[in-house]
Amino acid sequence: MTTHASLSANTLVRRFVVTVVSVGCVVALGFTLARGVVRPDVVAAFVGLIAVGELLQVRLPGDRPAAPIAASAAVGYALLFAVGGQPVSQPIAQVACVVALGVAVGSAVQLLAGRRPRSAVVARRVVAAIVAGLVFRATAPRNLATLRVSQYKEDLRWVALLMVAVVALTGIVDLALAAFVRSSGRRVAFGWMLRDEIGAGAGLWAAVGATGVLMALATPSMKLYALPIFCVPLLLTQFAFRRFAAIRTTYRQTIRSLSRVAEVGGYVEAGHAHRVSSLAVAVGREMGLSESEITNLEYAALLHDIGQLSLTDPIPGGSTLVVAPVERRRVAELGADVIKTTGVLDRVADIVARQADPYRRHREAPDESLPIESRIIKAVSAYDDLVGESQGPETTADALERLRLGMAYEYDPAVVETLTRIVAA
Amino acid sequence: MRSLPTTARVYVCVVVAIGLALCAAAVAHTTASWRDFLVLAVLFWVADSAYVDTRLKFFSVSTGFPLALSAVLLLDPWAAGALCMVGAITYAKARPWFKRLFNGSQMAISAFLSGLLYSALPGAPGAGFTDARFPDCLPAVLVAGVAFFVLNNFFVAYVIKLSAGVSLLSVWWGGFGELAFSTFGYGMIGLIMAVLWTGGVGPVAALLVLAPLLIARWAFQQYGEQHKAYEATVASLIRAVETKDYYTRGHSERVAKASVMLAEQLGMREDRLEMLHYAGMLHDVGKLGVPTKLLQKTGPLDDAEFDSIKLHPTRGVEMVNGIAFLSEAMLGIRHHHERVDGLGYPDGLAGEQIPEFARIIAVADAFDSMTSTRSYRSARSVTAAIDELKRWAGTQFDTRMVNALVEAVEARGWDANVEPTEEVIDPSVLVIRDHDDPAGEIAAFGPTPYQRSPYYDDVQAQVS
Repeated sequence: MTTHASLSANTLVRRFVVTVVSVGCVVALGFTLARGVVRPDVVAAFVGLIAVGELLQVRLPGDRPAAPIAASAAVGYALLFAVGGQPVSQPIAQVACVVALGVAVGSAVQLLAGRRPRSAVVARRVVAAIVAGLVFRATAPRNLATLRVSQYKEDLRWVALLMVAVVALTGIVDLALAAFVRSSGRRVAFGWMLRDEIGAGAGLWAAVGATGVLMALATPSMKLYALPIFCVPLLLTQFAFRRFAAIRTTYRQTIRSLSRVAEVGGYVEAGHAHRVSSLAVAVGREMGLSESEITNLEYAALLHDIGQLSLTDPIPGGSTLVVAPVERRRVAELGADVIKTTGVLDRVADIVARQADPYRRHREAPDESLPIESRIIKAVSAYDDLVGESQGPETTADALERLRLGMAYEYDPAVVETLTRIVAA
Repeated sequence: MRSLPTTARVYVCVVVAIGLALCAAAVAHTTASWRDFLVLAVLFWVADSAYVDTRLKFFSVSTGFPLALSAVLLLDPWAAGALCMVGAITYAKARPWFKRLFNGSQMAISAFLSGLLYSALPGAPGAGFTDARFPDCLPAVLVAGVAFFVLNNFFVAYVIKLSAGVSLLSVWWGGFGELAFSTFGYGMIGLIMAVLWTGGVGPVAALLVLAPLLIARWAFQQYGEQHKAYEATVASLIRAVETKDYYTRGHSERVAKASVMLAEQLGMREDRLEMLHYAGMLHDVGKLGVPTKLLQKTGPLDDAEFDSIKLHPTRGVEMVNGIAFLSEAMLGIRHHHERVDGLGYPDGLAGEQIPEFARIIAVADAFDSMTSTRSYRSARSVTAAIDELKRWAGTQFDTRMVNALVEAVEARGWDANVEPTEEVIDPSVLVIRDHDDPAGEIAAFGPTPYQRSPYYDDVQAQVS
């Protein structure tokens, strides 16, 4: 699956974004050094804060790494206009350099610690700071960069509102970039991905943006003492997100472990649930399922044979393919009943319940209400039953051929096609 | 209110009376502007209504604290006190009126006292925070914040002490550290708010301040929901596993419950209790690896069959070792059939070598097994089961754990599972070696006279 054509297109887009940002930063560094650095003490403080922030990451749903402290500091520096009552007017090139430097230091430390930072995610941080800085500079009153704070104190509320607007715009640009990178080279509509991205990241962006604005507004009176004070509540928000991420991980690990109950009990061939789920998720991603659909698909795939526990005697070999359709449907329904009792996995139960339904019946149009996740699991599970643990090219080809023969009624042709592409790669 | 003991009722009344008196006096004494007061009060009300269940035993984190702190910094002590009262008596309909009134009053008193302290401290900027200089004003702000938090917590902890009859220390032990950290951290937002308010940004500052607070609240809430979902999922998957054996239905959940009761008696920390709960839930998950026909077998088991049953703790660990969060629980699962005399399985550990979780689960497991009906016998009474546990304390079970369970059951009772007794139990159907039953257990190692439990003789007698 690693050398799949469309996946590598996606990698190309990622590399392109990273290269453009890196080249831009090098040019910006040249400018900054040539013109002289404005307020090196402030630069040092922000580079430090961004670097530390990079190390403190949280993982949002859907495998999205986020570094709220680094992101807030980057936005804060882009909007910064005064420190301790004195105006500070750093050019946008310097903003780019400071954020890039902070991000680079943080990433280097991560590399040393053996973690691989994601270059596209890191590049987005720099882009967001540049966007915020540019828009703010284009719209803010001219004299902001020259007057002392006390001279325009009454107008600060308007500056604050302007900053809020700038940050909101930056957030949209950032999430759009993320959606672009994720969707490019895949069969997913950009608009679709953007909605997914906004659903997952808008909340944290609001917190990050608001904190960036607060930082820029507070440094005029609090000087650089503002930075450590701001870190405390952000760290706590981070802590809350981390606990959230941890329980999600535990949930997933538990479903994975408990999916093996049917295997340990001798009902299903060992490793079947795990193989089906990873292949089903790959198919689902290729077919452009949203993050929440992918999660449901994964859980349903892991638990699709749990209904076999309710059978008194294991089906020989555990394969649901060799038994009568009626029996298969019974296993599916028993499994769905078990899953439904959790009270929180209703969607997963629906998917499992319909995993044995054929794509379409004789002389009928395909059933519209049959969930795509069920169709994926049906095909992938059958494929795994046919192939088993032997992954030789011949068994693979045979298995795919059998699925293709069943395409007219049993299996969804689109799913079988995608599966074929993934397995062939 | 009637549900409270007299001392607690008196305490609540006194606090509320002082709080109300403070508000009345505030009208006469305050010098703060009505506009500032109203804007802050509305914000405090919005933030404070959004309290979160943090899964801590006695506290819920309110997002109102930072705004109350900024009121202390921005307004005079009278106004800050009155503000807390206004905010708190109108929020959260779900709580009974006297709780709301008490909360408002204790916040008002705490705000007023910390406000007095703050204005007396050196380095504190004048009223309205207008001439705040950094870092000179930071010590005064921090001291005021700590005082506010400590007072607030003391008032609440004291009412819990009076109404629940627990000591102040155990109230604080149940999550005080975490609470102090988060409340105080978010308190910093109150400082930032005060700075921006007087720095010219005005009420817009408040809107910016609310965003991170509400996001943090959202994350806490998501955590809580996901946590509940997790518990429900584990519970129903375990139930699915138990369908294999009619007689052990609900066993895992009851063992989890008994283990937690026992551990609470020992004063175990909250996070470990949770882990123990999962260990109890999952302790027999490895039985899935045991062929159903053995588990449901109605005749005596031979040695080979018993050996394959003895594999279940190891199998169980193999099954759940993908769950990183359960690290300590794994030990409990693996060793729940060890005996303190070293005759248990799978590793033959003895005494203190056996992990604490395993020693707890062993007792809870045997207790539930004895008080439930099995295919070959009806349930024993709780008293008989306790006697049996005491008999085996020191050889099979850790005496400390047995005593703790006995105390817990005596103090809180035990709702034994006797559901299957309605079924007709065929007396000719006997399994001599129940793997959880202490009497059955001993048979696996060749009973010697002093180890043989009297109940074992009963079983023998029935066979013949």
